[in-house]
Amino acid sequence: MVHRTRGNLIDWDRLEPLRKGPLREGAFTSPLHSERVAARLGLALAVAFGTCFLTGLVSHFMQHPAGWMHWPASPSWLYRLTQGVHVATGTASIPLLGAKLYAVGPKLFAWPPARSLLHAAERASLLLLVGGAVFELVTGLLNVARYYPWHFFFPMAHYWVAWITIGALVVHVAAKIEVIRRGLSKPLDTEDAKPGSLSRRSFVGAAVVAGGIVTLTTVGETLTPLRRVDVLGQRRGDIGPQQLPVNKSAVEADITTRALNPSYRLIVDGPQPFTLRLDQLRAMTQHTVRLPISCVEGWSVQATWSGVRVRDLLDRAGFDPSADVHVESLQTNGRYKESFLRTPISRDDRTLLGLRLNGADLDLDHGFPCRLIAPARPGVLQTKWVAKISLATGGDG
Amino acid sequence: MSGKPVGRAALILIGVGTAAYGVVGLFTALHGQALRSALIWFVGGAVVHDLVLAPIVATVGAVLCRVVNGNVRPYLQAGLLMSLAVTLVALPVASGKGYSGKNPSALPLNYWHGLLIALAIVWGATLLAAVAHVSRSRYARARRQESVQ
Repeated sequence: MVHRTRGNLIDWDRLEPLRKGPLREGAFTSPLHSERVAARLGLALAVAFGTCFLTGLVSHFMQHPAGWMHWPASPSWLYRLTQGVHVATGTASIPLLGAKLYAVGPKLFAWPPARSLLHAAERASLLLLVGGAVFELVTGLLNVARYYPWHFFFPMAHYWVAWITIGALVVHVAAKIEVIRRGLSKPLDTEDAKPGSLSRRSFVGAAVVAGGIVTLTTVGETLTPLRRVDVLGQRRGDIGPQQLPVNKSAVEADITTRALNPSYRLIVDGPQPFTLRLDQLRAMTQHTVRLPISCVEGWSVQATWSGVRVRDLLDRAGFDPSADVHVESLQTNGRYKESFLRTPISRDDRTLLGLRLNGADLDLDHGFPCRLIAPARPGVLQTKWVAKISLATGGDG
Repeated sequence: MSGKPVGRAALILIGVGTAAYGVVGLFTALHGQALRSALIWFVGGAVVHDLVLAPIVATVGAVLCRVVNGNVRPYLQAGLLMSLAVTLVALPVASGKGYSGKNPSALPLNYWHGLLIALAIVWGATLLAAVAHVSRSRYARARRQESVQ
C-alpha cells in the first residue's frame, strides 16, 4: 500500500492506449476476485506452508544433522507424525493454492503495472512466492508419485526453494497486512450477491472440501484407521513382502547375490573388532520391539521387529558410549547405502539390528540378512543389508 | 498507513534475508544442468499456471455463465473446480510414470479407479449441497406463504 508518486519513473498516463484485454478497467467482474476470499485462503495457506516448512526442517536435519544435533529417540512415532503431516499438508494445500491464485488473478493485470520502485519490488517478490509455492507443491507431489522429470536431486532443490518460498511469504504478509486485516474483518458474502453465481462462501468451501477429499484419499498410507479409503496414496500399509511396503527392493539395489552369499559376515569395527556369521547373530540375545517404518515420501507402518541390540554390539567392540556410529550396507552405490547413529538413539533399548519382521525371517526386500531398525528416524536411515558397523569419523554424521 | 512501521520493516527484513539464504543455497548446491532445470521448473510452474491453467478455468467459467441455467450453475462450478483439483493431485500417480516392476509395493493400486472414487465423492458432496439448498429454500418459501395466508 504505497501511495507515493515520488519514484514514479514511468508516465503511465501516456501508455494508457496499451491498456487492452485483461488490462482494461473492470475486465474481471466475478465477485470471487475479492480480498475477503484472498485473506481467508491466504491465512489457511500461511498456516499450511508454515507447517510444511517446520516439518520439512525436521526431516532435513534428521538426515543432515549439524554437529551439535542429537535427535531424541522418543516418541518412536516422532518422524512418522512430522513427515505424515508434511506430505498431507502439502497435498491439501494444492486446491487451496489454486483457489487463492484464482481469487487474486486479476492483480496480475493491475494498472499501472508499477506505481513506484517499492511497488515494483513487491510485485517482483510475488514471482518468488508464486514460483516457489508452485515448485514446492508440484515437485513434492511428483516425488510422492516417484516421477522425476527433471535434472536436479529432488530433496536438495525442494529444501532450498522452501527457504525462498517461506521468505517471500513473510514479505508478502508484511506487505499485505492491512489488506489481510480488512479482508478478514468483513463477512465473505454481501447482501447484493448475484443470484445464480457461485457465492464466495461456496467458493472457499469448495477449496476446503477439495483439500479434505485429497487428504482423505491419500492419508490412509500413514493414518492406519483410514487405510481402507487410501485410494490415491503412494502405498497401502499392508501391501508388500511380509505385509509391509518397501522403499527400495533388493532388485533395485542390485543386492541379491551379495545378501544371499553364505559367507556373509557382519563386521563390527571398534577398539576390539569382531565379525559375526548370521547363525552367530541369531544366537545372541534377541529383543522384540514395535517400531514404525516412516518413509520420507509420507507413508508409514508399524511393525514387529526382533534382533540384536546395536548397543550390545557396540559395547562388545569397546565403543565409547557417546561415539557416533557409522552403519554401512552391502550396497555398493546409492545415496542410502550408509547411515549414522548418534546418542541417544545409538544407545536406545529399541535400536536393533533386525533379523526378523512380523514373526518371520527378514524378506530380502526388507534387508536380509539384517537391517537397522531404530525409533524416530526417517526410513532411508534404517539401513538395509547391513555389512559393517564402525566408528564414525567426521563426515556427514 | 501502517500502525507499526518498525514491526513491518523487521518482518520484511527477516523475509528478504530468509529468501536470500534460499537463493544463495540453491545456487551453491546446484550447478549446470541441475540448476537450469530447477530454474525452469521454478519459473515454469508460475508461467504454466498463469498462462495455461488460469485462462482455461476462466474460459470454462465464462462459457458456463452463458449456457447453463442459473439455478444449476453454482453447483456445477463448485463441482468442476473440485474435480480439477482432485484430478491434478491424482494424475501423477495415475499416469503410472513412477511405477517400476522392480518394486511392486510402490504405487500398487489402480489409481484411475481411485480417481473415479474421489470424483464420486466430489459430485456426491455437490449433489448433497444442492439438495440441501433446494429443500431449505422450499421450506422457507412454504413458511412465507403460510405467514401470508
